[in-house]
Amino acid sequence: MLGIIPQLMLLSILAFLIMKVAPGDPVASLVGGREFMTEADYQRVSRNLGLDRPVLVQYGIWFENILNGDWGRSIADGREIRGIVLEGLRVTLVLVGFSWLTITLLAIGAGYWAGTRAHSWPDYVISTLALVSFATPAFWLGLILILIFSVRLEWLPSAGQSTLGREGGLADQAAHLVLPVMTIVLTHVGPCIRLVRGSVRDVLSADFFRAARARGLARTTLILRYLLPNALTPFITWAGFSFPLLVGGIFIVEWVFGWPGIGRLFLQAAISRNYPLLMAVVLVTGVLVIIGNLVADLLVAWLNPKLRRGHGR
Amino acid sequence: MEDDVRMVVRLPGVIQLIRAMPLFFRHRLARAGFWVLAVIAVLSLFGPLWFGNDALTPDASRIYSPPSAGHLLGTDQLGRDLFLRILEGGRVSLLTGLAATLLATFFGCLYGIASGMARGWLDRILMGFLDALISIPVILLVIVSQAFGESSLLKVTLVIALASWMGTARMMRTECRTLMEADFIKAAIAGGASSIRLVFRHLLPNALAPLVVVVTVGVGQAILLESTLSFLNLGVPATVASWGNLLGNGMSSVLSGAWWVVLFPGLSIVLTVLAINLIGDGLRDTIDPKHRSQY
Repeated sequence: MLGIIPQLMLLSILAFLIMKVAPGDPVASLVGGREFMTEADYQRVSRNLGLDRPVLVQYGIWFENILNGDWGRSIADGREIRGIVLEGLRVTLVLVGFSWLTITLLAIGAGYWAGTRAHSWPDYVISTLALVSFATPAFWLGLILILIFSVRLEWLPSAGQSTLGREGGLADQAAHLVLPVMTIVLTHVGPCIRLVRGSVRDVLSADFFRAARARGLARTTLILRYLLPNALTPFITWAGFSFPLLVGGIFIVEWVFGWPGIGRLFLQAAISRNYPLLMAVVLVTGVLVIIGNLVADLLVAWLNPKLRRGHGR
Repeated sequence: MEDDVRMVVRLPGVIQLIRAMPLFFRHRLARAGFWVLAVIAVLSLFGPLWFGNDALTPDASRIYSPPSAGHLLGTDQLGRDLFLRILEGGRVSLLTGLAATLLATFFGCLYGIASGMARGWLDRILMGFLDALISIPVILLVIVSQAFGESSLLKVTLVIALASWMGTARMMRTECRTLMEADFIKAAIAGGASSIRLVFRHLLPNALAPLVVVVTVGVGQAILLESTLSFLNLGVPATVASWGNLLGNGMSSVLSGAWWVVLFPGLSIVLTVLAINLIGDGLRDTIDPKHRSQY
């Protein structure tokens, strides 16, 4: 639990460093170049912006502002960054939510199916698909899906969150979700299926499970009380670990499909070197990932009483 | 005394690897992966020398021509032969992936061994930092650092390496921890072996087997990362062909219906990474006795 304090500290330092390594002179950029201001003006503006203070003090002020909800303004259009980021986050969470739901259901379903039928042909098919999915770059799969379903078959839209002029339609929004969700699911579900498959097999041959089966418990009790909680523990641990990786995958998928979420915001900001926005996105995403890790840890402890003792540290 | 100890433990990592080779080649998937990768690597490294560069000069008369006998995989948006472009890009992608992984391995080993051999506060600080770093989406920092400043092959390689050494470091620390408890290491320490000797004679050779597996899988991941960065124009410079760069304006190719320009470079990435992962799986199965029963 206490481990998240150094994590958050390191994260905030790294986010702060983005400003420090960003190219260009922030003071000079205010008026379009150093030659447009006198030396005295330059010094005065630097002092007003607090740039003459020690770096640690600057970091402290920045951090305090963040906590107070003042995240600065975007270089590109002068809008409040907090509003931009929170709106992007809302849009992204729709995508992430649907993707995670599908990944979890597929991983449990396919993993259970393959694990209980080890070395049968469905098992081989699922395992092969899992291997291929692990080797496929998300952006490329996105392009291929657009090629098939938008360009050739013209079944599904290729970009955006809704068709212009028809913003309200639920069916329209759902259609825009299909391809991005499919891309994220197909590129991330592989390792999940393999993991669930492996742990289902482990549990099936474990003594406690055989004993439970020998007691003649009902099939549903066996699956719901004995098999799934134990088989899902490694999956949840892994899910917590893989949040940082998932972030990269989602960002690139948003880029390919023009999904107006935090990932596209981030990549646009990176390309236009809009560093205040970059700092905010890194910080917000990082905090969410760290919280995600924590939730996964707690969930594992809740599922597996054996681990509860270890959490007193 | 020390000599005897050395006789017994000198090359176990290497011996493990050599012993695993026949087993490795009996592992069907691993063998397939090995040959696929070998063909791709040889074609990429020597193909451009063999086929010449004539078909790589832009030619307005054959922009986006579909696959045909003359151009096996078609031509791209500048009328260049796609097959040759893929071979050219493969050289960059494979070498960048390999170089980045070797760098990451070097740094990861250094960090992991330092942490594994140190006791007390130094180990705690190193591990605390590593844990914190692993929990942060480093990919975002990679993108930021690529967006600021000029891009070059060397910089991409360094950045990919910096984003991927953490797993190796953690694995090496665990290995070192286990090995430091082993009797032969204690004997070596009692015999007065220096730290450097300990690392190069005992720790590294004994940790070689799991290290090889981690490195193999790492190359695949590095290739994926490089292609993603290059696709965003944040990877290798636009003048250099890499598999990611070939897909750089993939969206406009897709929308103009030139499916081959998107399909084939991507398939090369998938095939290569898949082959590397199969080799990694095979190595793990054959080197680590725990996994042997699985195939």
